Amino acid sequence: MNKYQDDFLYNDAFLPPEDIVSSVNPFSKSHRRILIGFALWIIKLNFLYLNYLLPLVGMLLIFTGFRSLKKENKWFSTCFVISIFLLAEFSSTLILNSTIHHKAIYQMPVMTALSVVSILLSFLLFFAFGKGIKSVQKKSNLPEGAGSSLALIIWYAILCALALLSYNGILIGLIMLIAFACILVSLYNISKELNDAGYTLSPPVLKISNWLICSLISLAIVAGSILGYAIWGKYNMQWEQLNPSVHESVKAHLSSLGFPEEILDDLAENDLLECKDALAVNVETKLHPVNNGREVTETRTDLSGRKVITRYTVYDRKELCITSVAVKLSSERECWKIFHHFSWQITPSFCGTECVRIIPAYNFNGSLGWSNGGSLSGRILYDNGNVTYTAPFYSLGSQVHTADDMFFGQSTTEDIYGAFSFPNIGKNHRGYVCYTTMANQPGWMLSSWINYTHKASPVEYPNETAMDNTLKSFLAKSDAYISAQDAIQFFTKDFP
Amino acid sequence: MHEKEIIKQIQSHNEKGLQGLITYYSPLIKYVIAPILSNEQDREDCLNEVIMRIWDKIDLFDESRGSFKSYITAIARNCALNRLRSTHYDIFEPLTDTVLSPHSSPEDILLKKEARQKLLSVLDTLSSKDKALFYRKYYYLQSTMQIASEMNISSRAVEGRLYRIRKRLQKILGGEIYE
Repeated sequence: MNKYQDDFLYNDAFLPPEDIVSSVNPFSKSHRRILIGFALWIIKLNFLYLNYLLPLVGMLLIFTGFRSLKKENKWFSTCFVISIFLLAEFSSTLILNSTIHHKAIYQMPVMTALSVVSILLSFLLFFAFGKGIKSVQKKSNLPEGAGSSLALIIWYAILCALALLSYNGILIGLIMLIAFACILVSLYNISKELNDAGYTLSPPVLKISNWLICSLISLAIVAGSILGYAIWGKYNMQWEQLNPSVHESVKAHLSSLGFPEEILDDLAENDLLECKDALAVNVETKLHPVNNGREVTETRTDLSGRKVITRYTVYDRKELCITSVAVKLSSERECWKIFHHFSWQITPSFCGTECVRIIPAYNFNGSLGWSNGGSLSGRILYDNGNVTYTAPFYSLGSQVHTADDMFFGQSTTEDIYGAFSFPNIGKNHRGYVCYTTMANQPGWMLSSWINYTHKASPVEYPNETAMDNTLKSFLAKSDAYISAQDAIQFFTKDFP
Repeated sequence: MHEKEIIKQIQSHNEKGLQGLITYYSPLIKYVIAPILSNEQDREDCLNEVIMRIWDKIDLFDESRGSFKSYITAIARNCALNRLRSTHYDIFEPLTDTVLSPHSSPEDILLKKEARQKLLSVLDTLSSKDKALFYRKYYYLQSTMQIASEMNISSRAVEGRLYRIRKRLQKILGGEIYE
């Protein structure tokens, strides 16, 4: 006989502690774990990444809960299988969100089908859970009453309906939350009843503990996400060595009109040729900061003796040079070719995704003054050693975008968007976009804007692109991006 | 039936109480008996004995000392151990100075009581998981495999943790480490 067994052995009066008696009942522990899992999985809190962390924890609790119950009856076994699928699906979503292609992938029909399957399996999970509870109640000689699980199914159906209708009100949301809490309490009481009835189960022998399996799953998600960021965190650009231009005469002519020489070498053959008989050139250049600057606080006393505190941002570095060039082309109708060139003066500390948004001249004044002349083009360049590399934009084209601004309301525009990525190596990262515009009537100002968005921080989840951020409304924009804006504006009558 | 209702009916020797005891608490009694008695017949006999003992000695149940479940657990465990001793007396070591004899002197009983109190106070300093592990092994007499499966840890983890608990008890209480 063991020494410790002795101590307990010959004393009928010794009663085991209450916490021990309560804990030596594996059913209630698993059941509670599942209920907490349901709560964390379904309720989404959209701050501090809790809309990802809590559902993941919830799913792991559901998975480990049903892992202990799977041998109890076929219904819990079904729940276990469904929980594996739902956990795998959610984990894949978490990993996919670390790539910049997740939005495009989610729009694919197969992903839509997967979402539908996922929702149907969720209903099946609640149904099987209810059946499993009934089976356990029967085994414990307790009255069968799993109305709470039916209520849970109805509740989830209403939730899905509200999601489809994009309902975002508070009143029904609050009612749903209270109803959900009541359902969980009711399900918890079933567990308590079973516990009081002394219901016990024989869980399967686990070769791998729950902690280990949850750690492995979490590690896999983290590793997958890191891989997602590293491999699919930027656009796959088609770089090739730049061939020197053969149209030196065109370059010389443009240079004589005032076109910046350093930019001429970056232009593609077709864009140069279009300007061969150019009549005039207008240039505007400006350096822009692509950093958050530093806050400076000045305190002074005004004439009436009051303390005046002024806060402003000082930018010690201005990394991005934007040069906008308007070239008047030789044609019957007044025609201008607009170049928006951008050039990094230093190598960016982080090269993720970039985006340029061009608000062309023909989008102003209701297109009264100017019209689209076509010839949209552009390219990206960088130097590595003595070699210059070039690549087309990952995407370049017009896109209709509806912005919802709290000040100006809804507005629909069709601007030019160019998405690209720079490599992490090399220097002189630069590029340009150009288009042609034709005058409808004389006398209208030519106004063309460029908005350059740079992804300054790799830390962003889900991983989005500079273009995604550009398309968002002002208040929805992320701090991971920094933008610079510039324009070329002039009256063309001032030019021959 | 509610627990209080069952107790009341047993106390008033109402057969409904006996029925309630059998219906609602048989699974718990079987759970406690199962690791101690391997023979199915012994388990059935022990279950009946426990039920009758609770029925006959319901007056000994004191709510201030513990819950009804706790009381049933203690009765079931001790009945099972008594049955094990009576049917397999040869596996028990002969009584030595370190083992309390039911016929010990009052001084021995007092010393033993103090030792138990010390042990229980040390057990209370353990984490809830370690404490549950200890009670499962040395009070409920569950096998390592059963403990591992019910606590969702591996058998190796159970043995490792028990070893560390025993070492800690040895350090605080003195004496030798027993398996």
